[in-house]
Amino acid sequence: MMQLYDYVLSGSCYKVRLFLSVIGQDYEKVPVDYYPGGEHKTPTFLQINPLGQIPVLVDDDLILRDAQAILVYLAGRYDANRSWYPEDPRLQGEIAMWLSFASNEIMNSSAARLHDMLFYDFDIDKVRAAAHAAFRVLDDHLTDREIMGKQWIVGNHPTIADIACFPYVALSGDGGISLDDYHAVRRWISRVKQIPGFVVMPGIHHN
Amino acid sequence: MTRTTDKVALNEWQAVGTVEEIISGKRRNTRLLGQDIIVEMDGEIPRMFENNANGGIGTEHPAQALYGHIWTTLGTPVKAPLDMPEFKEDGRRLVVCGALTVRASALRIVENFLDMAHFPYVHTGILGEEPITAVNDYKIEIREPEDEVWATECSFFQPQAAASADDGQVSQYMYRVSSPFVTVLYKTCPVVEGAWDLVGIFVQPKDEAECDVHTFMLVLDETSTMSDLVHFQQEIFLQDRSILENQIPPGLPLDPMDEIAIKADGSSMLYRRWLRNKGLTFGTHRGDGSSQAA
Amino acid sequence: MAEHFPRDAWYAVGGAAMLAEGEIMPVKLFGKERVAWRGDDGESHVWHNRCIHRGMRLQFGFVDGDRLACRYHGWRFGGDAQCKKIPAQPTLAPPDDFRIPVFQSAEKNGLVWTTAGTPGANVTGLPDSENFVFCRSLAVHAPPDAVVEHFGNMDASITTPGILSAILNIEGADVPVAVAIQPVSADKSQIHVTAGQAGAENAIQPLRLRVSAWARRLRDTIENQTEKEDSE
Ligand SMILES: N[C@@H](CCC(=O)N[C@@H](CS)C(=O)NCC(=O)O)C(=O)O
Ligand code: FES
Ligand SMILES: [Fe+2]
Repeated sequence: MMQLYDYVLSGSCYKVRLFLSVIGQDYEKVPVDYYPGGEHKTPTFLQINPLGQIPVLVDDDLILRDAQAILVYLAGRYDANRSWYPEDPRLQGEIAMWLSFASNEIMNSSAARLHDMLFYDFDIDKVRAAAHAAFRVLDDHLTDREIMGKQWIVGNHPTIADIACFPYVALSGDGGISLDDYHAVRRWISRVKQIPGFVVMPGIHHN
Repeated sequence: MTRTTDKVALNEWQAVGTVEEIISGKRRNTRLLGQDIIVEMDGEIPRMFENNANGGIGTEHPAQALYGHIWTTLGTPVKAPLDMPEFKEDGRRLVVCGALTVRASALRIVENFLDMAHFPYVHTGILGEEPITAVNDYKIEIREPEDEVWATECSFFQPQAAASADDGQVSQYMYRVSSPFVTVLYKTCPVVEGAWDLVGIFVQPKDEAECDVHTFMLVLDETSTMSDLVHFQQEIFLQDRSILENQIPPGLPLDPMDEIAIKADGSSMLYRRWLRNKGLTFGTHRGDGSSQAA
Repeated sequence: MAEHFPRDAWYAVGGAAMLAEGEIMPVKLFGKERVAWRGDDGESHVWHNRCIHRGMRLQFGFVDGDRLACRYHGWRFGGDAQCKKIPAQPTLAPPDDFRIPVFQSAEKNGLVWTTAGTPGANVTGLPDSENFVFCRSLAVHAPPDAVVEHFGNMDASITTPGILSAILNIEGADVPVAVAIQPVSADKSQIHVTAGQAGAENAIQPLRLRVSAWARRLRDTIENQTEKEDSE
C-alpha cells in the first residue's frame, strides 16, 4: 500500500491527505516526529528525502518528495476522470503556475506559522507582509473569477491547484495573518470545504 | 513589555523548558512574565539568569528539574511545584509533547483545559461530537491545605478518547489546578481497566497575552509509538490554539458580570474566583485600559 | 475623520450578493469588530463579533439554518440575536438577557449597510440617478480621508457621507461610478465599487471586470501616495 510520511500539524502533508481523501484513495500514514523530535533531519530520513522535508510519498518503487509533485502524480495516476489535473495543455500550464505559487509565495504563511508556533527563526514582519502580498494576488484573481461566474482557481471545476493553495491560506491565522481583507479568498475557502471527501486538520474547521 | 510587578505571578514556580532540550547543550533564550531569561544546564544542574537588554547576563534565580521540565521563579515561592506521585509509578511513560506558542493569556489557556463543553465543537470526532453534547453534573472544590482547584466525577462521551482508542467510550475525568499556570487532568485509561492516564499543561506566561505551553502525558499505554502519542496531543492542542487566539478580550475577565456562565462552567467559575482571591492580575482583563481590551 | 465620516451615518460594508445564505463576514468600522451573516431564511444581520459566553469571535462560527453558532461551545443564536440553545445544557431555556449586541443594518443598492451610531431609519444609499451594479470590494491601506482626498482630485462629488460619485473614463469609455468608502480604522479603508449599468445584461460582466481592474489600480495609487507621504 502507498505510504505517506506525514506529520499531523504540517500543512504540506495536509495537501496530500486532503487530496487522497477527496479521490478516495487508501494509504498508510508513517508518522514523522517533526516536532519536537526533528526526525526529518535524521540520517535515516535523509535517505528518503535528502532535502529533509515532509511530505514524502512512496508508491511501489516510486519515491516522491514535494507536495505539488505528489499531487500531480496522484491526480494523473488515480483520478480516473482526469478532472483534477486535466489533459488540456492550457489548463496544465495554469495549474503549474498556481502549484508554483503554492510552493513559493504562499509558503510565507507557513513560515509565519512556524515562527509563531514552533520557534522558527524567521523575520516575522517580512514573511507576514509577503504572505499578505500573495493573498492579495490570489484574492484579486478569485474576485475576477467570480465575476466571470467561475468558482475555482482555474477551469470549471476544482483542480490540484485549489488543493495545493488551500492549506496555508486557510491556516494563515496560526501565523497571525488575518484573512479579513480577502473576501473572495474566504468565499473560496468555504467552497473548498464543500468538496465531497473534504477533511480538516487542526486550525481548519468544517463550515 | 517589561517584567510584571504582579507579586502573585512572580512568586510561582514556572516550567520554562524541557530537560531533554536543554541538556543537549541548547540554552533556551526565552521570556517569563515579561522578563527575558536564559535557561541552561550546568552539568546536571539547571540554572536561570535574567537576560539584560544590552545582551549581558543578569541576576541568577532558583531553578530545578522536575517531571522532565526545568522550573524556575522570579520571586520567592510560597508553594512548591505540584506534587505528582504518579510520576514514580511503575509502568507509566512520560511523554513530553514539546512546547507550542500561543498568543493568549495563560489563564484563558488553563480555563480551556478545564472545559468539557467545547469537545464536540473544537475536537469534533475525537473528544466529542453532536448530538451528545451535554456536560453531566460534576463536583468542584478548593482543596486545602494544598490550595488547589479540583473538579471531580466529570464524564463525557468521546468518539476517540485517546491515541489507542478504536471506539467511542464515556471517559471519566478529574481536573486539578495546582497553580494559576499549571493544570493536570486524570482521564479513564483506555488500555488498563480502572486506571487513570494523566495529561497536563505547564503554561509559561511570557507576556500577558503570549505563552509557551509545555504539554506532557503520563500514560500506561505500552503499544502506541511515541509519535502516535505526541501527534495525538499536538492535534488536540492545535485545535484549541485557533480558539484561544480568537477570544476577546485576550485577558481573562475575573468580574463575573463580564462573561456569561452556566452550570457546566462550574470549574471555570471556581478557577476565576480562586484567581480573584489570590489577587492575581497578570493575564487578566482589567477593564481599566491597563490590560489588552479589544 | 469626523468631517467626512460621521459616526451616525450608514456605511456599506460589502456586496449583498457576496454574503450568500450560510456565509459569515468579518466587518470592521471605526476600529470596532462586527460580524455580518446571512441565515438560510435570507435575512442578513450585523452583530458584535464577540460571543457573550467566553468571548470567542463569532466570525469563526458557522450558520445552522437561520441561526448563528459559536465555534467554541456551539451556542446557537437566532436572527433576533437571542441565545436559543446551549448544547452543554440542553434542558436550559436560555434567559432573555443571553443575547448578542446588534447593530442597525440594511440592504440597499446591492450593498449591506451598517452604522456605528444611530442614523435615520432609512439608508440613503447611492445616488439614484443611475442603476448601479456592485462590482467589487477592496481593502485599501490608507486612511479614509486619504481616499476621499484622492477622489477630490478626480472631481468626484460627495452627496452622502462616505459615498463618492463621478463619471470616469475607463479604457476609453465614460462610466458612471459610485464608490462607498468604509472607514475601517484610522489607517485603513475598504471601498465598495459600483458602476452604472451600461444596458444589456451580457454587458455587465465585462463592465464589472473593467471596473475591477480600474479599482485595483486606484488602490495601488492611493497606497503608494500614502506610503510616500508617510516616509516624508
Ligand atoms: N516544497 C515542499 C516543502 C514542504 C515543507 O516545507 N515541509 C515542511 C513541513 S510542513 C518541512 O519538512 N520543513 C523542513 C525543512 O524545510 O527543513 C513541499 O511542498 O512539499
Ligand atoms: S464562547 Fe461562544 S459558545 Fe462558548
Ligand atoms: Fe480543547
